[in-house]
Amino acid sequence: MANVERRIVPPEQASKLDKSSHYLKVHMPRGNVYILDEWFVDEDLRVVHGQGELLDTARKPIEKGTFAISIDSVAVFETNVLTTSPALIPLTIVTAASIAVTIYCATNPKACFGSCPTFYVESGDSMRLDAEGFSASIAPSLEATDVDALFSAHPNGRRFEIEMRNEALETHVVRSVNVIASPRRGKDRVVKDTRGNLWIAGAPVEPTLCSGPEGDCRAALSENDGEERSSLADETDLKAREIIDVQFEDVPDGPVGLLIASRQSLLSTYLLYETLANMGTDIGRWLAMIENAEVTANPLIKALGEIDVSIRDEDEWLDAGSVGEHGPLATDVTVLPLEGDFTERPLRVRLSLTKGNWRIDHVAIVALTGVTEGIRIEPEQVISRETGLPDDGALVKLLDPEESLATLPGDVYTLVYELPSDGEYELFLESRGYYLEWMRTEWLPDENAQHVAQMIFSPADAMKRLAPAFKEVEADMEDAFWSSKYAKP
Amino acid sequence: MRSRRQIAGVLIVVILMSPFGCATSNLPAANLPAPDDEVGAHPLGGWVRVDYEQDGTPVEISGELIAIDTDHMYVFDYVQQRKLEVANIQRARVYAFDADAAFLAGWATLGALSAISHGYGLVLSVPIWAFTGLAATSYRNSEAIHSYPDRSFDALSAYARFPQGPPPDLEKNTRL
Repeated sequence: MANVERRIVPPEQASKLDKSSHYLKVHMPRGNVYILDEWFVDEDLRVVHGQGELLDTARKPIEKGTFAISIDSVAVFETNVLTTSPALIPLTIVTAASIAVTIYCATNPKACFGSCPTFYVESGDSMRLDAEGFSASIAPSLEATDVDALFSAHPNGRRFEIEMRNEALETHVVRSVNVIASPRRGKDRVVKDTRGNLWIAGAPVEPTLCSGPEGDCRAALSENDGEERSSLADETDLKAREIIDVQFEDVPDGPVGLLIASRQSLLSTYLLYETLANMGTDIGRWLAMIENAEVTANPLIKALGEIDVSIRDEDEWLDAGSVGEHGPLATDVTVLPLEGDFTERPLRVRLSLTKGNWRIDHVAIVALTGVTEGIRIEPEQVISRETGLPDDGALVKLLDPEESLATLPGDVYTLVYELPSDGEYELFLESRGYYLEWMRTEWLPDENAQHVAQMIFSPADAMKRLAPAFKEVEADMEDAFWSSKYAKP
Repeated sequence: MRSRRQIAGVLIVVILMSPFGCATSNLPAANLPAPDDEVGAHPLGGWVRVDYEQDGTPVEISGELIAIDTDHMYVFDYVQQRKLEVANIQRARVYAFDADAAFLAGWATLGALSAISHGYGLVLSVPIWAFTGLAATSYRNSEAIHSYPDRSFDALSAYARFPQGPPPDLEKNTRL
């Protein structure tokens, strides 16, 4: 597609005529025009030569042939030079990018957004992703209750809204979504442990030393500020682990706990999708075997393990438990109560975790001054984004334990809660349900029963086999994942 | 249901693109040469649309741009030659060649349709295609359409049949 650059040149500048113009129009004072092909200017004789035709003012042909026109008899010359239109450039770039995305989607179909219901709460002028529900519940038999801290929620007034979205190619079967409100005193926070207990926690004591394979990691692990510490997966074995040593000083008297704010990387998502892809058209049979407890669900994700915590006692490391939030989307805050008196010496904590599987935002010691209770609050109202109106049917399904609300990709519901009127509360989201990943056409070529069998019966070998394939997509997976979130057009 | 939503998204692009693709429609083809060598051999002036104040009444006058001089613009509307006072011209748009913006609109539309292959990534792809398509067609039209008062009458005269100005006896000439 060409653009046309037209120039009108007076006869005294005939030497400057653009010779790249295929045609030369020679406009005469009385309105006649010569349209010349194969033209040239003889500056010495001040004559323009060319083949073409002479037209009158009505543009009817007068004469055809070869002409020699005196430059001094001309009114103006007209040249028209074709150039490539810049309008093509943005479309060409977008076309190239679009083809690249098509190729990427075709070759890396497991890099797409997924992972259970996402819950957003108000944060300033926008909605912030603050929790994801029952991430490990990928089949009906794995239905589970998940409690996530809404650590950044700051409700204004008694009315509290949570937006529940289905942003993936999944069917979400949501049994219930409740808010647990626990009273706060002063600057204390309320945190949950891995057993679901709610603890009153004092101000966090930040680490004084932090050492990981990459060196000093204190800046990343201090403060719950969104700056996360992460690493890359091992090149030969996806379950290879790494060690992070953290040291605390001035540990408070009395019971303390290790506070960890973390979420998973996309490694677990990749392994889940790889498993489903290998199940292929036979996925129904495999899911039936999971439902009948004939095979283990999520063997690869279980092989990834959690963040194992140990503490230094004299000359040995003592197991203190494990922490791990399933899901790559929202950071969850959990406390692991520690047993012992740590006031006499620096407290040394060792974290053992699978390389490339965790993103840790904060590690701190908090004083645990007691266990507290929470008030379970059910939704008062459910509003469908599609209609903008209250959906009483959806509300009934979330309130009745025998029923469940099924959502499809793009569905968004606003859940409205009424908080207690007195004081300030720490909020937690308690969601129960399960979800079903949709099979994708792009996955079907990867159907391989032998690989599924290896994943189930020999996950350690499968983790080694899959390492090179994951490393190929690991660098770009984050961008592809977040850009493939599903919202209704 | 999903397919319907995808198609609906793509249709939005088609609808958005259509007015730009048709920006040069209903103009006489004889006055709109293709942007190739035909432009250089085209003997007529560009097509002009003029918002003109005639006896205090706004009117739109369209036709071939014949010539412009200091005080007047000459337009031939295929019925008669119109001599317009430049002082009374509110706006004039000269179509120098066929922008073929419909081609760009079609390109963007096909691109948006191809975004279906991106799966749910089309949530991003389709708006990008729409924005780029609109920007490209808009820019393309700006290449082919030259407007007063954005450009001077002197600049517009390059696209007249007589860029040198009205020849003698133009007003008596009814053989345009």
